[in-house]
Amino acid sequence: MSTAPVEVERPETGEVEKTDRPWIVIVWNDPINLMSYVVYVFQKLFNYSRDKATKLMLEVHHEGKSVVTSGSREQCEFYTSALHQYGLWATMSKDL
Amino acid sequence: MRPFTRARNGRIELRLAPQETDVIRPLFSQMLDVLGADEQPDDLRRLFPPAYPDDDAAQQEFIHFTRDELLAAKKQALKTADATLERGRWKRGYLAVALNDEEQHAWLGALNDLRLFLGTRIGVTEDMFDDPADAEDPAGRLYLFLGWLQQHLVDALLG
Repeated sequence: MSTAPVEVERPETGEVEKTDRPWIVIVWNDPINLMSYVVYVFQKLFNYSRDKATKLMLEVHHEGKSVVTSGSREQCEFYTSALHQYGLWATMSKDL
Repeated sequence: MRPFTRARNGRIELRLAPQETDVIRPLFSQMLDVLGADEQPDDLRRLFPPAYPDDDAAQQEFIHFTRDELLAAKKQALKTADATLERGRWKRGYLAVALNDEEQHAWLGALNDLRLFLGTRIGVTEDMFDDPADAEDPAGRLYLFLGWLQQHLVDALLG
């Protein structure tokens, strides 16, 4: 038995995106990867500007880690795996 | 002489002295052997970091879906980079090769994986080679040589 579909209020697209991004990708500092290489990878993989890529790299360098992107679990696994292909030390976890 | 320069047509040109190719080619081949070994040494751990360090089940699943592809990509990069040297031409005492996008990427990956492996093996720390003269042993000198190559490649790519 099914009832007629109820009219529901659809959430705003912006809000969906926000709540749909519960995972984060973290890049950790390591003593081997060159700073300029890390900037290059952030630009190439995420299409970040030179400024943004440099800011994130410096965060990794000075604070030991940086959240470099967020998204669905599938998206984060894709980026984590891609960062591993570049040899960066990336992990992912649920955003708290 | 810089080992990597960006030519006017946008391509990256690689130029290595004979003694440099003599160093790098055996490294490529040794790295392929290490990656192909049945039991991989612990010094490879930085090439395969865990995606889920605190969730064993998720990590096993991640390995299941990504490890083979990751390993294959690393091996292919070493082979592609090595193959570029086969078709190099000698110009004024240097082996010169123009690299396409795929080959630039292969060189970048191969050099980085070699540095991750060697750096882990010798226990590199952040300020270990601030003075290059500190690299007295062959492994330390190799590590610095690879870093020098990679730095020039990244500069050429970013420039």
